[in-house]
Amino acid sequence: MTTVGALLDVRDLTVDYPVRHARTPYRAVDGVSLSIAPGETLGLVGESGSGKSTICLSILGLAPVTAGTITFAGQDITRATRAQRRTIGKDLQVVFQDPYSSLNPARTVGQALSEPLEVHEKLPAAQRRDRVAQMLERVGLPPDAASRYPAGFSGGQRQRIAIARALMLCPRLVICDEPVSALDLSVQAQILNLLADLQRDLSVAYLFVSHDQAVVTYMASRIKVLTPPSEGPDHEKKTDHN
Amino acid sequence: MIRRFARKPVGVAAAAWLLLVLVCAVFAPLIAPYDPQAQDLPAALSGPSGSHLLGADQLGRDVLSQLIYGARSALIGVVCAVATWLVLGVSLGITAGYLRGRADSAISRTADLLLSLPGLVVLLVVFSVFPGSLIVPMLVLGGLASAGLIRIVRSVTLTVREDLYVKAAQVLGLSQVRIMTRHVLPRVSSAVIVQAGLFAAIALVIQNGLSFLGFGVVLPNPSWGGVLGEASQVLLRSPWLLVAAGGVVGLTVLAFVLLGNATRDAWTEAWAPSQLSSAPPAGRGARAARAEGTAQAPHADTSGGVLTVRGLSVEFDGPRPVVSDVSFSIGRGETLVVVGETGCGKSVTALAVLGLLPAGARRTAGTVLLDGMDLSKCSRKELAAIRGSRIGYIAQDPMVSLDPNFTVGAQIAEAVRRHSRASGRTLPRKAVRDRVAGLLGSVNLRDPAAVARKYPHQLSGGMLQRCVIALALSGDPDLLIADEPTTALDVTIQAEILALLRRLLETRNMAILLITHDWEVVAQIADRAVVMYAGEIVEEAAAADLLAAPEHPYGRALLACDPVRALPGHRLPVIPGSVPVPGAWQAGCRFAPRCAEAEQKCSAAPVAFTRTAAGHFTRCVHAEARVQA
Repeated sequence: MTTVGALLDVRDLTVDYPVRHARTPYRAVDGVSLSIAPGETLGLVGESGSGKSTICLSILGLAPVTAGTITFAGQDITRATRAQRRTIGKDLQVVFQDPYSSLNPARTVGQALSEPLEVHEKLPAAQRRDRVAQMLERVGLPPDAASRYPAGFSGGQRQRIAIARALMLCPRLVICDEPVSALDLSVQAQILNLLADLQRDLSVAYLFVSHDQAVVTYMASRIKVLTPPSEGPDHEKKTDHN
Repeated sequence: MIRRFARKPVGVAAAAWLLLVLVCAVFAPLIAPYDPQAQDLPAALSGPSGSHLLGADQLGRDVLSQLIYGARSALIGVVCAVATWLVLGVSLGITAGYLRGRADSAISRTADLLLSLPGLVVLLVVFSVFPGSLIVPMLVLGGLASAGLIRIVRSVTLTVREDLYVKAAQVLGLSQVRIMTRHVLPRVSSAVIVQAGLFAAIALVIQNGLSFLGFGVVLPNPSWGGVLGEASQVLLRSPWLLVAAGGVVGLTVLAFVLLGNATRDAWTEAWAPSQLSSAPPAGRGARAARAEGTAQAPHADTSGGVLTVRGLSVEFDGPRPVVSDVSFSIGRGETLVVVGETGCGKSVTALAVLGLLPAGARRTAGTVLLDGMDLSKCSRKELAAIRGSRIGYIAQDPMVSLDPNFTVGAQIAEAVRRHSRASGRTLPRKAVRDRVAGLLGSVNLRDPAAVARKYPHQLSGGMLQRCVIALALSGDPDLLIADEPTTALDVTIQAEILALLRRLLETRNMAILLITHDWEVVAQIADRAVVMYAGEIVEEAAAADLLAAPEHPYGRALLACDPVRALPGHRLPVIPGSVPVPGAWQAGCRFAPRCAEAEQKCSAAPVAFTRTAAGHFTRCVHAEARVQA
């Protein structure tokens, strides 16, 4: 049973990790269901160990699904092959928590941002440069950023670069896995505003994961609260967005 | 990359020497003064002379010409060996590390097998199958040695593949080959380049050693090893010959290694993060501000507290100021919270109080008084005794504060014994055990005896942080310094830990200096709070006053952008830009470039502290004007 009209629909997702020297595997996610409509933000909160990040990884195809289904844009992607992932990658993107390890230190910002265009849209170099310049401006970075390496940027600026990379192909859903947790308060506000502006302009949907209730309440129209698998059922609540 | 390489004189010298060797090898017939085999018997073992620049050997052959022709076999051999080594080592190493699974086991087992083969014996067998061959043995050498490179590359790849940007590339649907070549290879290459320089040197030495023994290129064909062999025979009659041949081989070996190092440095410099390169050294403005700042009198009465800090300034090498003119004091039973963003000097202030500044940092001004005793005048040994007994310290991450090799109980017991010895008593074992259980009980751990027997990895983050607090309390400190003690913990556990600290403060009659970036923590535990920005205190007030009505625009703006106070659907108020790196501070108000209320006078001169209300101080020209009005 899937939710009609949902962009992403996760049903009874269960993820087990094998534990060395133990007969029973570790259950990181136990029967979680959630759905996101196009252009909407769903908040996902929970304490550490509640499986937030694992849910993100399995939606992205980076963690093996033990049971349950993941449907994206009407297509079952629970166990998508690498070839299927290639096409899904255009519409489903990610922004990670750590702005330091999420950018390749040995490649310039321009190279990082034009890679999606090179692989998916096969654009010639001149057009790629234009699109990269537009996107840099859009996320509030100076135009000369394209020729610089990530090491020359602050944490907040790196997170802008990571957001720019995720949005290069105008995806329909971006998984934001604790995107502001590593940032200072004043920079956090800048990034949250940027994400909100981009959503308004590009009508992209977010799955917004955080351990910070205040941040999620501010960003999301609905919130899914996860409890660790051993401590009772998850619940969902609405925020006063209108 | 080439421009960066050109700035390294050692690398350039090494490259020039190797280029010279290469030119000699390619144009040997044009450059060499003689045919390498032409014999000039009267000149035999003559030493350097006008007609034979590097002398002649036993048969009167020109040594210089032999060395010039010998460069050919030397370079061809090294290139063959290094190329085989690189191709096999890098491709198999990355494949094994990135793909894991069956490919990994097959490649790793093969590499182990290669490592266990006796290399020299294999090479001798190869020589007997291909007598006189130059290339085949060097290919085999490269193949045998590649096992070591496979292991190095594989282990680097294993760490790189866990990096988030590799995951992002997978999400993007990049092919595995592309991820391996574009995203993993550049990260592996810095290690490979250095190893390649070393291996080229080793290959050259092995090749020469073999032709010295009479394998590979043998007389009368010219080779460096051949000249060395000749030289060893006539060592006593003509030591010069060994100097000439050995010098060339030695220089080339050295050049390979140095070229490898310089190339690696030039290659990584562009993108490797460097702590020092990101910040410019202190400008004249900042220096002037500092000079005037230290001249100011301490703003508040800072005497009589447990801890009194006066005019504290800290500088990193450069010289770059990171903390300037910080003054505050904490009384018994009081919690002072230092709040601010990353890079504002909060942690450095705490470390300066502890006398534990990182390497390269030093206190340039100010005093730190603990109950009237000047810590800045204490010796290293006295400070060490004070830390842990009179001052307890709680760090952000409880996991790294405890040694994973010992049980929690053993670590606290050690601290208890040390403190009792310091006060001249030796506690019996039973008393130590009781004291450990008492400490663990005082931090609200339910079964202290059971927790004491556990290793750090067996406890949750919240329980671990309680153990760290118990450890910090073991010497009955007067002052507890806690640097972001709850940042690594969940919200509910954060509240519990703060409540615990609050209760300990009341029962133990000590003082707490707590550092945080989180207003929630200020609200929950602080009696008074100071706001730091760009290395200086910009506001000090009772916590309730600060939260209700901050006087400094930075404090106001920072409070406003906390999403706790935000209205969903409305844009969050932001502070444009980011905290300036240490040293890039402007004269006058350091917040002025980001301040919505900034005027010209803000940047004109250093701003003094203004008392705006009882116990409320701020460093803002507008507050100054309001008070005067």
